[in-house]
Amino acid sequence: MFMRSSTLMVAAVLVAALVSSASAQQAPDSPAQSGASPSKVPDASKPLPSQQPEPTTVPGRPDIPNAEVVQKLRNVAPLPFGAPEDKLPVGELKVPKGFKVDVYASGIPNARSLRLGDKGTLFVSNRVLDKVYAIIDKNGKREVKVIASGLDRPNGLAFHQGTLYIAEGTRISKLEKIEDNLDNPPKPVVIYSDFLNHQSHGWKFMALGPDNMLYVNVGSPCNICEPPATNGQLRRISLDGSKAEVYARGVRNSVGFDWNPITKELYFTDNGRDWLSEDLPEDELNRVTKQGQHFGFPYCHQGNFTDRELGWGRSCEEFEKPVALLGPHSAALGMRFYTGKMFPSQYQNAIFIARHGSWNKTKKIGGDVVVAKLNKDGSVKSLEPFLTGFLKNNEYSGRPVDVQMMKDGSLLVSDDHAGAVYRVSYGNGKVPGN
Amino acid sequence: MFRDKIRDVMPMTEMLHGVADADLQSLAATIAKLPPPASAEPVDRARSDKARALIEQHRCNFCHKADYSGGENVPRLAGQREDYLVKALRDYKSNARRGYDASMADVLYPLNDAQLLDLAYFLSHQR
Repeated sequence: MFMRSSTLMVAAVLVAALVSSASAQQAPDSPAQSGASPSKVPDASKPLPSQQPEPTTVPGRPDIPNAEVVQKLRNVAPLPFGAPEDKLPVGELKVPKGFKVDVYASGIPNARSLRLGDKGTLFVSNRVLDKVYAIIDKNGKREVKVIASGLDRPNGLAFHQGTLYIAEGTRISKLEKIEDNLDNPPKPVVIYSDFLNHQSHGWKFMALGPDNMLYVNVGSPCNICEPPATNGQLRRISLDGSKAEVYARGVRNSVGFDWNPITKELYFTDNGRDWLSEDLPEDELNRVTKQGQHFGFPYCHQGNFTDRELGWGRSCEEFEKPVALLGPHSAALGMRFYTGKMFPSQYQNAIFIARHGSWNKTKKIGGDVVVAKLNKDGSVKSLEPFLTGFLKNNEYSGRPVDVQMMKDGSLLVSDDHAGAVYRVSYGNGKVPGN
Repeated sequence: MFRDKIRDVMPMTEMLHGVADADLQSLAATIAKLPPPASAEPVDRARSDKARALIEQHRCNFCHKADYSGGENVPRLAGQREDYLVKALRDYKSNARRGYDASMADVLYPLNDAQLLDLAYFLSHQR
């Protein structure tokens, strides 16, 4: 009970914060906003409108939205090629006072997961394309190299002792000593391939756990369905691929997770189902406190209501509840705990979460980075907007996918819409005291 | 996608080798201006009705529009060759057609091959 009320409270705080940030952001450049209030006052000279408001569904079919609604529910098309740096919307992006946003790298079509090598190489993955990129920084000048291509949805990246692990649609492979061989990379060597081949939620997110196991999401092959026993789970796999076990169940599709640096517990984002309603269900931030826990999919959504098709005879009390709700259809993806020294102390051990932004919603939300600050016990204290400005007039100029803390404490954000990586820094961009 | 071998069809990949992004965009813009293909009315009522029900259930016209003319990155379906539509649908379902957002795979997950054939039949007979 306590968990639920705190979750809802956190969600309310987030919504309020995001609404206020959105209006603050639009105020200066939106004349419609300032002129809006007078026109809302009823004009006494005109008769009150007697007509019913326009129905938003096809007459007689409450389940089928009308053409105007449908128009706003179409899939969002990414730009066909990576945008050149001077076309990126960096000037429109908003961060809290004292922070600054720059373009770290551009021209990386479908830039997805970010992962840092021991020697400072930034690896960037693809989801709908076939490549993995390496970005090296030489005194502020960045060079982008393709280190693998011809891969099948290589979304997941993990790094351990010089080796880059790549999770594709149906296999995990590795590139050994990759940072010493960026110009002449080895061919990927497959270590594990026990995955079903499915296009829907078939791409993987991957991260190295504190136990030196590879953690990977095995998504549900549908929007809503009873997934096969092999799917709808987080799985952990040994580095040589010889051992694999289920770590968490009832996961629709997680595209981001990380470990609390204090409690060592795994936190993960999970994307809620589509086509239920404009505002339900919300995406989840979950916490695994024990291996094998079930997080509700496909029976229970956002910890407090059962699915309209598959939830009959079930109760949300059977499942783990989320620690925070991240907005309906907001597509919360990559997340990392912040342990750097550059940002103010209030961000220490907070979680930065990239929200890709909704498509299955007429009024779009997300397309930003939010920050979840935690209590000592690991519950969520607050959720606040952090990087906004990609979403304007219901259209995206960028869609954040993943976040990655750099060695200097700055935070990188990938964008698969325009094909770019942004860098958020604080103060003069240097670590205090250095 | 052909140029970058995301979709691996050798003659297309060879033809587009080295073509610049800007040239691809102007090629696409030119092709998009060509008139839509001519097509005949569907004659098999039963198959058309089955296809219409599937289209409503799976919201095909949300993206492909009510007249199946498509737009932006969503292709036109009306009047496309039937065998081409069958191949595209089967390839989406089997994961052979890569490089796209997963929305088609979501939709096709519960459909069987007979239903794909009905859809292709109906759509190829639209104008």
